[in-house]
Amino acid sequence: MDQVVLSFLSGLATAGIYAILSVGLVLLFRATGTLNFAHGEFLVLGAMIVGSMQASHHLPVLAGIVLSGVIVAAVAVIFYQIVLRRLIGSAVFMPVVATLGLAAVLDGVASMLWTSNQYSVVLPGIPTSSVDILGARVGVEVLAVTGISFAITGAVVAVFRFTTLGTRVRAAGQDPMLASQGGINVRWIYLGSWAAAGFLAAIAGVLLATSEAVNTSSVDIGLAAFPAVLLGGLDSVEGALVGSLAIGMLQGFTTTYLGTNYLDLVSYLVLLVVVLFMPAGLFGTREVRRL
Amino acid sequence: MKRVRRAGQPGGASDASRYDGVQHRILSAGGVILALVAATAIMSLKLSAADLFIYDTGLLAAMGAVALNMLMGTAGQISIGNAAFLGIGSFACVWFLGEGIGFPYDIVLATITAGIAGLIVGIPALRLQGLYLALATLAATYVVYFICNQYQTDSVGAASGFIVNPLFSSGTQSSQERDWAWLLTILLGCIVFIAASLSLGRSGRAWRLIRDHELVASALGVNVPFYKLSVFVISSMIIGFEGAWTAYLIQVVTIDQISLTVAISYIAMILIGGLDSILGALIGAMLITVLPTAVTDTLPRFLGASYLAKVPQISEIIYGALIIFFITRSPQGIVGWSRSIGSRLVSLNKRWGLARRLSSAGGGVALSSAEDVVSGAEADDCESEPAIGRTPGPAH
Amino acid sequence: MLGSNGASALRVKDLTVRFAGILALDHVTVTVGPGEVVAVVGSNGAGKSTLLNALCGLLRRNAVGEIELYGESLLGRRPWSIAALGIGRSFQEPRLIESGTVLENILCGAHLQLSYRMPGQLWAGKVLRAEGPAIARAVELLRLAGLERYRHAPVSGLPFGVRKIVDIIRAIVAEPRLLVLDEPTSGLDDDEQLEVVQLLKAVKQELGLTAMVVEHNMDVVRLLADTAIGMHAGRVITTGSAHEVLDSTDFLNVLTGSS
Repeated sequence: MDQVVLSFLSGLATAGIYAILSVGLVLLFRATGTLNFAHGEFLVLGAMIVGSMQASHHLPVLAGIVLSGVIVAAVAVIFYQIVLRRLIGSAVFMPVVATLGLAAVLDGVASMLWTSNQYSVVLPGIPTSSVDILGARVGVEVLAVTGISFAITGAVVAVFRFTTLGTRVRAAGQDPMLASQGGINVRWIYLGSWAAAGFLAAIAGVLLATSEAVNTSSVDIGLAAFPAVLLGGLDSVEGALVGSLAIGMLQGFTTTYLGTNYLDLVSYLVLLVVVLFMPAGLFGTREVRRL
Repeated sequence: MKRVRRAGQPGGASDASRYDGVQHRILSAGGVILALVAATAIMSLKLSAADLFIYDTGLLAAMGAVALNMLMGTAGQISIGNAAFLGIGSFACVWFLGEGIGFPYDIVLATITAGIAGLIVGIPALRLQGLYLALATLAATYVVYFICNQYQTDSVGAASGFIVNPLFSSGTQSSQERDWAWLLTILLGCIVFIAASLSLGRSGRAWRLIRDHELVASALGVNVPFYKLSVFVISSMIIGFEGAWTAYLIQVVTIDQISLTVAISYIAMILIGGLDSILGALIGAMLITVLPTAVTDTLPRFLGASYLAKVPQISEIIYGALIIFFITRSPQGIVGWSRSIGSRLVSLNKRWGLARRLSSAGGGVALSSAEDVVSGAEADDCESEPAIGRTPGPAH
Repeated sequence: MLGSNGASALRVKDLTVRFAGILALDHVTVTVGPGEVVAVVGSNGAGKSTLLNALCGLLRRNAVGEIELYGESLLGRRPWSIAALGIGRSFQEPRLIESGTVLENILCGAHLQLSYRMPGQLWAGKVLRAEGPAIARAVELLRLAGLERYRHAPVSGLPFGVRKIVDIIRAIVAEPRLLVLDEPTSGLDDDEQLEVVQLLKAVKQELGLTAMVVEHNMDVVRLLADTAIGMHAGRVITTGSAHEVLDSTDFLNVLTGSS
């Protein structure tokens, strides 16, 4: 039983990280019609900036988190402005390749700055004790971080669904022409989407670093959010949440019963199935193909 | 074979004996192979053994680049799974060696294995395009990584990879590298020949139609599933072939060779060289392969010797930046640049009769660049000046 | 209209196409005899392009009814097998390979005519021999259109009118038994339209022409077509000879959409 609880809770924690990443990815997809293959690098950057700062005691952690979020957001915005805006109207694979190029650049930069060091982050004010849940010993920190991640994701979803800002973002994503005629500054929305996604990815990285050490190879974790996004539906924010829960749970139980070697395999098999048989995912919009 | 007309010489607009565009391109493919042989001849004489080894890896990379160019540049099927097929080639080769099948049959079988894998990936890929295809190939990479990882961890004594016995055991290191260079040149030449033959004939036209207007292709009689599958199988066979030979050249096979970074570097190669250009694939492959060495040589001058350890990372940054640059500005890459320079020369020539002056000065310089198809068209007769050599890329 | 041996080139009966809940074609019946040019006229959205797409097999899953080309059923076949039976198609927007030359684009239309298969491409001599006749036909058609000088020109810089003619020649080069043209003169100025008409008339004279042509330009219809059908909202409203249809009140209703 304790295995099940552990799997469930670790899966939930993973799902929280994926949720933050996925929601950002969906925002980006709605803005630029492409999946950001450099999202894993955003995550790593965010984690490493805070982790290395904490290790060298340069800044209080919370300030460091904000700073790292801003830096990654800036990188994202600059990339959108300089690169992706030029690719508007081109074939779908071009922005994909551009993000791959960005991934290579950021990977090189990260490896240069931090070589093979790995960092953890300790969040102040959270007890490091353990708690007994249904026979399993669980760290309070893990629970807290999980809670924080879902709170953040929930906040983003709420803003998206229930505020005027969110309505504008949805309008811009659905029909940019109409939206801009209605007075919505579509360009700022796209810029903002990239900034927000970058910021969120950095936060996800920091939260991830609280439970495991992050190094430059942790990029794969960022990419592992892709199955979650596809499962939920590329353009559905709520779907991202559901997909993340599903993939997170899957990974939690896979780790316990099959081993960590199987994690990528299982997640990407899900991705393959989704892509092949229901590319719109659970909640995404279906595309119609016309001549 | 019809005679080449020099650019700038007056020719009848509807001259039936004029050089046919198709034959022109067949010859230029032959020119590429000749240039390759010449390059190897020069390199094998002038380079040290260590540098020649790098050239050899460049020749290998060129195989994969040609294959990826066929898949992505000509047929428009995006794939970031080429590292997976490299891995399949290398690991299959090792596996067959382990089963007692020696050289060269292990390479043959490894290539076939990669082709079968290409078929397995290709069949579901028939229904996918663009982003979804990229994702499926990404997933394929992870699946292959898993399989090879299991194999490596399950094999005794292979914790840090498999060792492959050297191919050439006699002679100095220099002579071995020279042997490798010529061997690889012959193999690469064959691959270039195959790729060029396919690209110049109806297969290439079918692939380009599928890339640009898939529905039109089917209405014109192109069996779309067959051609999509065939390009997947052929390109994955070539990449698997490269992987098998890599096992012999580098003599080590590990799962670290299967990574997204490797896949991205190949995409950089075909972008820099120019999409849908075999020559571009070769140029791009050499440039990316040589990049770390170039960085190592030039870096100390700018940043100081302490950065020498960072050469791989700096190289990665550079080719990432190159990808971004080329994808936004010119997917027709270096070959496209030379085409537009060549055709600008041609149109300059038409205005000022440059070639006439040069040849009358005693010499006779042909100003047409090898791949310049426009040298056949008389610009005076066209109603509008053609936008020469450019494929319509992203709007800018 | 039936040909001398009694067989029609194209026989469409009760063709019905539905997608996304819309009835795009409603029991359309039309016949094309050998050597006959049938014009399809009607307002926008009448289903004209849908009819052509259904003929070419691009609407495989959505079409029911009967379509026969010289007695062979087309329904349910893949587009390329329909092309193999002898249908050549041009498009409203000329969709060409931008990076290719005019000649290469035209050769795309000869895809099925070339006798070599994939492995055979390794023998350059074989390729050149096989492509020779197709290239000769392409050049001849370009000559008929007065565009022979463009044959090695890259397509990407050419004027729209030239591109349209290239698209049409691409459809003709395979000498199809049935030529299907989608608005061959749309977007062209008067001179260019004349060029297209002259090309088609020349083809009709030298090679014979069995065709179904969607056309908005009534003058072109009168010049080219033997018979015509008028369509509205997916249905065939009127049929007859070209002049009959164009001069009929039914057709005026079709144009103004009131029927």
